[in-house]
Amino acid sequence: MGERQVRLMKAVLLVSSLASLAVLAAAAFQENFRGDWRAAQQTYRQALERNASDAASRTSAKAAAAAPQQIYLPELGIIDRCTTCHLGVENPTMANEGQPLRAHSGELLGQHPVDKFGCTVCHQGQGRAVGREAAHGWQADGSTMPHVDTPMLRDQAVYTSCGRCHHENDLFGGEADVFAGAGEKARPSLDQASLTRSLAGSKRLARGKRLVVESGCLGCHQYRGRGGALGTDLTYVGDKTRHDFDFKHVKGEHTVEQWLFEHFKVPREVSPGTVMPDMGLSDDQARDLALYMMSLHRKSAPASHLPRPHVASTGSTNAEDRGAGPGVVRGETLYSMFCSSCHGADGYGTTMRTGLWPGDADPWGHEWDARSVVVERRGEMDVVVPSLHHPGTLAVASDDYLRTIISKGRPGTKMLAWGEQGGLSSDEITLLVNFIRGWDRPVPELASVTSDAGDARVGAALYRANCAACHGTDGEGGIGNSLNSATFLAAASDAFLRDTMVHGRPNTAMPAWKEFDVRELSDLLAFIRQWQTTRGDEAGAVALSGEDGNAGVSAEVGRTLFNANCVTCHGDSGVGDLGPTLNTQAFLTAVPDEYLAATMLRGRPGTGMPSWRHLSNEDVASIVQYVRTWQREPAKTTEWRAQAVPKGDWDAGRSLFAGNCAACHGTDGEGATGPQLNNPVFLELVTDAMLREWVSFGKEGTPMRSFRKGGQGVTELSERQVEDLVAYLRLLQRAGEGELIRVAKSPHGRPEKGAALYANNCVGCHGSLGEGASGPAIGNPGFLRFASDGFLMATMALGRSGTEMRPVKHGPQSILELSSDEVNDLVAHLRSWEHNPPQGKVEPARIAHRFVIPWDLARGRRLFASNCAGCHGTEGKGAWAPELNNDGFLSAATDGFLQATIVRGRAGTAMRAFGQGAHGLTDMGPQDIDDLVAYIRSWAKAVPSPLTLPAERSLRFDADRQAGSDRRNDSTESSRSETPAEGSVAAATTPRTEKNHE
Amino acid sequence: MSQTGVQKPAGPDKPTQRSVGDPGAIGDFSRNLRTTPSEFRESLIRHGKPTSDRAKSQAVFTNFFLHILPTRTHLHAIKATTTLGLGVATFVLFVLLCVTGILLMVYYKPSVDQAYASMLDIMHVVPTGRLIRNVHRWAAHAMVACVMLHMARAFYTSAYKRPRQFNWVVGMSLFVLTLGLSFTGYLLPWDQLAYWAVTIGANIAQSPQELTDALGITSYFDPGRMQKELLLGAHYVGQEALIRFYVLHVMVLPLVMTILIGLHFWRIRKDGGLARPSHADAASIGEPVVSTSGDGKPSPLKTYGLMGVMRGTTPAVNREMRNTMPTWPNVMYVVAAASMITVLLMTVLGVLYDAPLTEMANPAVPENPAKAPWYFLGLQELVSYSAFMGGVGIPAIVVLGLALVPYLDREREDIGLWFSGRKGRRVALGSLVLSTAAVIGMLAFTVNYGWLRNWAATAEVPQIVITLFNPGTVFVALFAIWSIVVVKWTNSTRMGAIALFTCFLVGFVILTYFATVHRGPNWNFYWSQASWPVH
Repeated sequence: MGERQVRLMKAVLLVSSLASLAVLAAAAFQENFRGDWRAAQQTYRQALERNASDAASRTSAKAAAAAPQQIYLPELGIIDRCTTCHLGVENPTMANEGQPLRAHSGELLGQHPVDKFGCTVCHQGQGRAVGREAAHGWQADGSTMPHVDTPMLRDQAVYTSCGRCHHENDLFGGEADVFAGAGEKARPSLDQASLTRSLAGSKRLARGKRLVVESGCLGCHQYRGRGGALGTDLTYVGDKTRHDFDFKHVKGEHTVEQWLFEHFKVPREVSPGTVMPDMGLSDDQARDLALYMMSLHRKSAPASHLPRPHVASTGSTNAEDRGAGPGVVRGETLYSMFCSSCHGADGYGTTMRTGLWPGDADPWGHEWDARSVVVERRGEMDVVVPSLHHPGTLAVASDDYLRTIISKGRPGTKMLAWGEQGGLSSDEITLLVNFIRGWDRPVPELASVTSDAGDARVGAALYRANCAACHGTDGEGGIGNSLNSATFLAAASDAFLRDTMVHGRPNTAMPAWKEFDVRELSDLLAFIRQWQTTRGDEAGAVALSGEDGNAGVSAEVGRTLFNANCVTCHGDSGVGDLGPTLNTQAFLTAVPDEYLAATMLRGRPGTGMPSWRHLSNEDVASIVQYVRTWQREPAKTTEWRAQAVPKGDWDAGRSLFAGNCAACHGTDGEGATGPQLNNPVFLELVTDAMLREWVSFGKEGTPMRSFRKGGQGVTELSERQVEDLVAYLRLLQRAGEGELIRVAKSPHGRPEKGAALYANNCVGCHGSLGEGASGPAIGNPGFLRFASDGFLMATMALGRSGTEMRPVKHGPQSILELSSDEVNDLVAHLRSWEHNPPQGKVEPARIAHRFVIPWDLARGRRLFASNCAGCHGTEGKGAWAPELNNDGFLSAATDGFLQATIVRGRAGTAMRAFGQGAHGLTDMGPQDIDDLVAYIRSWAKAVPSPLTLPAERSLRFDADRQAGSDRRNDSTESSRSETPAEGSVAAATTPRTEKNHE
Repeated sequence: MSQTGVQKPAGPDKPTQRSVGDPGAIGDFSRNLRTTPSEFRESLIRHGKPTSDRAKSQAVFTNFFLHILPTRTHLHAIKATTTLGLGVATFVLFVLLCVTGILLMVYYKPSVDQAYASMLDIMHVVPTGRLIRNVHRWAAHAMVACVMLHMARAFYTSAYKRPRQFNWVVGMSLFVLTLGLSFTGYLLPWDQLAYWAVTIGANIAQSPQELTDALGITSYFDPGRMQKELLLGAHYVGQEALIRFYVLHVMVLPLVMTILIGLHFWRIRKDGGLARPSHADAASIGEPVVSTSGDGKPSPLKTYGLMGVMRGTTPAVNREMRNTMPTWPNVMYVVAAASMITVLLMTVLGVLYDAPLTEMANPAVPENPAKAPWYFLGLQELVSYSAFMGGVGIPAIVVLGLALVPYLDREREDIGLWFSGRKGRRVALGSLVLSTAAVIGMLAFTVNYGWLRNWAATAEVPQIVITLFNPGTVFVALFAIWSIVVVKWTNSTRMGAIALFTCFLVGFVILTYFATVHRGPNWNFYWSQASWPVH
């Protein structure tokens, strides 16, 4: 038995030994005679022989040893054995051979020699492997090898490797952090060139980059610290390997490129639940974008292998972008990069569901009428991004508002704080604001806007629809200033009213009404002027002034009238004060009655002389007669409106004017120590004879001297030269269109003195910064831009009837006794704000310019609950309309912005108009809106109230709140209604005002 | 013949005393030169051709490598069913692993930066590197399997009984060492598979923390963390872990292994060879073998050398002789055949199947599921119930229990018989059925209904309860109860041991299978890998 066992074992030993030998022999054969690379080297030798030109090279080709080749680059940490098969990669004679023998195409090997860079730096794949599949990472059936991290990049994808060293394809700011080593913190400013630059050859990447810039990817994604926070950071997205992606829903090959491609085509299928919208990209675009993403690499190569910055950036820019040149980034580009994905490519706004653009609407295709987008699906999924490209929006939103919202974001909405979180610099935000402002309608040609040209009936309709909500049905005022005040209308010229309408008044509720055309503006002016009582007419008054027998006309009556109305400025007996002297013989003998009457009735726009149209003909005639009583010499001229074409040479006149007159009358006759001459109304009324007279003989009682040859003037002008001067002044009449806002070098006003006067006398109503309180805001540049010094002076001198504004100079109704100098000081002080706005010096919270007085917060709360809470949520906490109750929004939105938005609605969103006559959902009157705004404002913690509420009103508010909370048993209500100690007067204030007391 | 060289020690040194006809020193030199090959052979192998039994005995006895074998071997030991060649196969695999391992060491670089690259080099450009690595890999797996099978064979044939109790314990140590060698080698390729398997393994080492946490003493006494840090040299698998594993794998563990293998072999000799049943020496087994020398004369039947004093049964002269045969060359053929088959299998596997090499280790990309090497997957399954019990408690119980088997079961009947006869076979079969049902039942229950944590009513039970009462501990308790029942029924500790061992073996196999095939991402149940969600 044992022997048999042993024999069996002998046999087993023999067989297994032979089998082992056979297997080893097979393995040895496989090892030494088979294998991809041996075959490749064999064909290479054959190709060498075929291409050999002489016998020697043929022999050497034959003798080439078969061995693996490798490129060892310790500084890059790579060993590439690709040349084991790709032997001909640097051999130009192999240019036409098939792979793997073919020489490398293109010029790239010139700058990237194989023995310095290897192969896998660009092409990827497994450089150490020599088997075809293992080396390439691709299997014969076209799928990737399992367990190969970096399959070879094929076709254009190889250009994605350029980004490992070259920065040109980076979105922006590449060079700085590559070469300065500044790291992530460095955030160089954007420049237009780097946004459009790309490396030569990488056409797909260039297109991808342009897509990123133009499609607003950075609205959600960050790149180097700039961009939104909704999506993935894209800075080094190219460094991700396929392990970083979820291929569960990817239909094609499991490569990074394919994942990105499908992700761009159908984002929600590849990444369920993503907020990434379907951009409707074509296959080509999606591929471009995918490849571009893959090219965003961290620059990790050693310095020895990085391109030298200058060599790299010259001559390699894309031909089509070469024209752009380096430079500051354009606002338009910034908008398309950061804003367009939400606000639409053209700024018309979009409606999107969370994670989904509306399937049936092209998000980019909103036309103009999209401003009235009605959100059909009122789910919390709907996000309406407001349109910016709409005059309604732009009229209400000031630059400050836009800048604040862009910089600080809009809490409660998806609007990011682009300044603080989105990485935009303040310069870039300014560029954006300017670009958005560029969508505003152009200002029409305004010169032809006059009240005379308008149709008051049309104006009435326009007024009811657009203005009545704020200014009251009869111009009595409400949110806006009262317009039907006689003194206001007397002092305010057409130009002032027109400009205020067209440009609005920033930081107040007055929007810029650029949507009115010239005709409509004229109609409105005509309607507004109707409130100004017009009793006198020039011809009638002049006719009466000549009669003696009329009972109503007498110098006595004129004196009474003069003393009541004119002495404030012209002084007792016309000696002059704020206004010019009247009682000189030179003046009186030179001017005809017509001149006096017309000046009174029309006023002189731009100066303090208001229009006295409400005086009757008899009154005007009486004043003329009274003024004539000062005249002792016969009139020198009776010429009236008989002006011939000027005989003089205006060109000669100009140099004469510059040499002789400009010192006092200003370079362009705008006035300095002497009165202004280029006033259109003055020039219309003044006759050539009067001009000639005054130039020749001077004006007695004033510094105006005689310039006539032989007179005692400073210089001596010939008659011809006087004519030349007259001709030049007439030219000013034709050239002058707008009204003169300010005297260039006021000799009177001292702003620092004015500031003290303002602090003592005006802050009570206008606020310490001119932000307005019970009185209107007067500190804002919009007002000062269109209100002339004369308007300010006249308003101060005369007050504004129908309002709390009283005359400040001595007079029967005056509340103050300011001197003329002091009035001028005040004007100068206000004027100083125009270029140096007061809010610049204080904390931004004060910019709110609040002037809405919280009279009745309880009423505001009720109005909010019934009109606003449905969309904006209880207490403005946001529902499907944006949240209002947060400091971010409340500090950006002025009261005026709130008022105007409530009144007019917000174009391009679901926010309707609520103001009277605005065809909205309800007709809210000014008081309603003020209460509402005051209630909304009461949420803000940052903005202190300028006023303390009267105790009884706060009591009402608290009582109402208490009642409300009891009734509804609302926990949030009751938490806010902490009733103060009973019976305490001090406690009977709102919490906010209580704080102010403290 | 063998005395020739010794008798003329000074001959060549004294040429002056030679006679004329004497060829002299030159002659000596030329003769020495001629006879050098035979002289060398004779000095190498001091006996003649092993034709006689004596020479055969000498061939074994005088050979350094063979002298651990007896000069004559019992016929029972040569029977294929006695050992199934598993011990030899295991040893051959160890030798094969040493040889291929040394070759791999030439190219392998134990650094996290270069380890994976050197694997690529070995796989792609080192001549025969791929085959060597494949053989090394498959042999490692095969060795773990063979060790286990060898242990099962030894158990079922009662080969652990007196006087072999301690050799069983040595065998247990070798088993643990084999696992250690395989596990330390697992990390070296530094690919994803290795990295995460070792991460899992290290976490298993850390599992005592579960108990210390439950007891609230972790901050004072944290053996889990100590174990893990000792193993990895850090809190994570990195360069420190790699170099530790490398040193253990190529130096420490093989050295200990070699010493223990020697001890193991030596013990077999000292304990009287392989265990054999009492009837193996009965006459029915076969006729006594009459050895003859090459020339037909009866040769000396046995040569006694100094073999030391053995405990237990000493070879009885006449009775044993007829059931033995000379070790040389008979056992040599058996051993060589078993070895060659092992080598053949490994070579074929190596040529046909590449050892796995996944992506380079990337701590940022966890594998899901991250699985330990297959022989630890049963443990990983248990760890998924309770880290402490799966990672430390149950393995400790099993290893300790196995080591104690020879001391708890001292019955002397039926040694060397598979399953100790028919009764044992029935007990083994019963245990097989019972434990299969129990383990599969528990797994099915756990997969379908979850365990305490998953139920609302018991979601808040303290950790210590989960640790002590989980599917794993439930099997173990069931197995223990079952074997006690068997001991009582059969009135035999051997039967109880068979029941317990069978249960553990079945548990190991089923859990390993289950965790290998049916556990997918997040350690969820899947029928097959095809139904895993794509990652």
